[in-house]
Amino acid sequence: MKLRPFVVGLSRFVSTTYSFSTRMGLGVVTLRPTADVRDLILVGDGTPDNYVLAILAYHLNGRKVVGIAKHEEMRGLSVLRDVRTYVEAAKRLRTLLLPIDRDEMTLEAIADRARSLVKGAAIKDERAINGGRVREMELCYGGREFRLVLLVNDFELKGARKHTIESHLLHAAKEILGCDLVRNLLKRAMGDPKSAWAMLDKNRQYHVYRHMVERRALVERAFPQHIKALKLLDE
Amino acid sequence: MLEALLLAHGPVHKLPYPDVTALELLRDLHMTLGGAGFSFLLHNYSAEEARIAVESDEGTWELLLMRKGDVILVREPPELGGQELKLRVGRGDFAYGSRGFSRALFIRSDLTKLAYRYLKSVWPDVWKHAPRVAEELSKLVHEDYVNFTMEPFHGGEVTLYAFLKDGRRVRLGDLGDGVRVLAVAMLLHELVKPKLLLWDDVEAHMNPSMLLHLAGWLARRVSDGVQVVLSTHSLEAAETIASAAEEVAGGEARIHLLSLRDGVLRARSMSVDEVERYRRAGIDVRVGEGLLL
Repeated sequence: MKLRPFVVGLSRFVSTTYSFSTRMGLGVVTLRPTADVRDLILVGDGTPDNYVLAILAYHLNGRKVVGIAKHEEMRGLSVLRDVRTYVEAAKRLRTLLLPIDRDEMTLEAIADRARSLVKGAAIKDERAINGGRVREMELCYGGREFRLVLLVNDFELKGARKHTIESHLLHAAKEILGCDLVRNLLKRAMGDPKSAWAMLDKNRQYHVYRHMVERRALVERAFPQHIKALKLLDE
Repeated sequence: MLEALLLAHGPVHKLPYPDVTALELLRDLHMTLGGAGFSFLLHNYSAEEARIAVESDEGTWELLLMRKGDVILVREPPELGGQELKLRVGRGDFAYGSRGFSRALFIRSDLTKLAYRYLKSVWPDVWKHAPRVAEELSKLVHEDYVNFTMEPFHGGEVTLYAFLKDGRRVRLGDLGDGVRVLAVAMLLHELVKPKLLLWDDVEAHMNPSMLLHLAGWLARRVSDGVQVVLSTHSLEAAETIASAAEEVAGGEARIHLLSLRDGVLRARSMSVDEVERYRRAGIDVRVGEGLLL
């Protein structure tokens, strides 16, 4: 899978995504104009979401080009308030994939909130995958049919009181750097995986990323719902 | 796109550049890497024909270019004089009946020197417009220009000066690139009063305050009934200029996303609001052709 950023050309998001892909030798971020992109990933929080997506795209391989964008003003599920913009902008848009953190919400509450935010669109069908961590919604908006895929960052990590993309990264880190270190980090961060991951110095973070690049099985264990959701774009 | 529009408004009409018609100007611009002639007018230098169709308030017409062996025939519509011009694929000269000024004015920063030579050659027709342009420019810089003059410099050659309120003079060539382009564009505009103003890479050399001022100046031209078509790689420029035009002239400015692929020019017309909305949503229309077109 190749990622094609549609964000303002000289943004930090594009620069870090492209540089990460180049530095890690992934070659999955293409800046070349692409004739036809039907699937768009809306990245909620920039980094490390973009790093993880680049590594997943690398493991999924293939030539399929998927757009990535980052809303300049809205974060998380709130982006769904602006779903009209994406549908109207892209006449051929088939799938909009939105990775979000579960934080402290339940999966059902996330689904309810998503339904309420896309109220301008009729929900024609809905399917929960991986226990609801991936939710596929067939929507009809102004006569246009498209698919919304909600990908929820949700990983049971001992000592964590929230579920974010960093929960998955910390799980990978446990396998590489050891359980004690991760447990300590979470303790110091009072159970917040975002802060715990940020406490890890850059070299160690990159050490984890490198292992994720080299070991597909590790990625499959740490990011199961992400693999499933991205594979939906290939269908 | 701008070059096509320039051609379509009179391939052999005069332009305010020394002794060139639209065809000759484009020929010279396309000679940058060597090679003579007009084959650049055809897609991949080898297409059989090309058509430029214009639909405007003034009518609908089409300029037809056809390849016949070593000759490219350019058939003008009756609205432009109805000549059939014969251009050689590998030669730069061709015969044509002379015409008046084109209705289109073409501005590009790398044409400034040519424009300056032209202004010099017709200075008696220019000077009456000079105080107004000098006054406009004074709003952009920390100097009070009151006029432009043609006077000798060291060595005796006559050159163009900005004339300051305190009597000092500064050569136009010594001013910043942005001011120079603006001064020349404004003087040319006063001189030829075009119906269509084409400005390539409008943001080139412009600092933000100049761009804002230029936006206001262009908006007033739209108010005067001039159609203004600009090309830019800057979203900031597109949004600023289009918003100013809407504010001053009323109506709706359009921003067109263009993409040439496999010889087909694809376009999407958008309002300023749409472009801004897409930007907020994280979609930069300049790189969004894979989604938007």
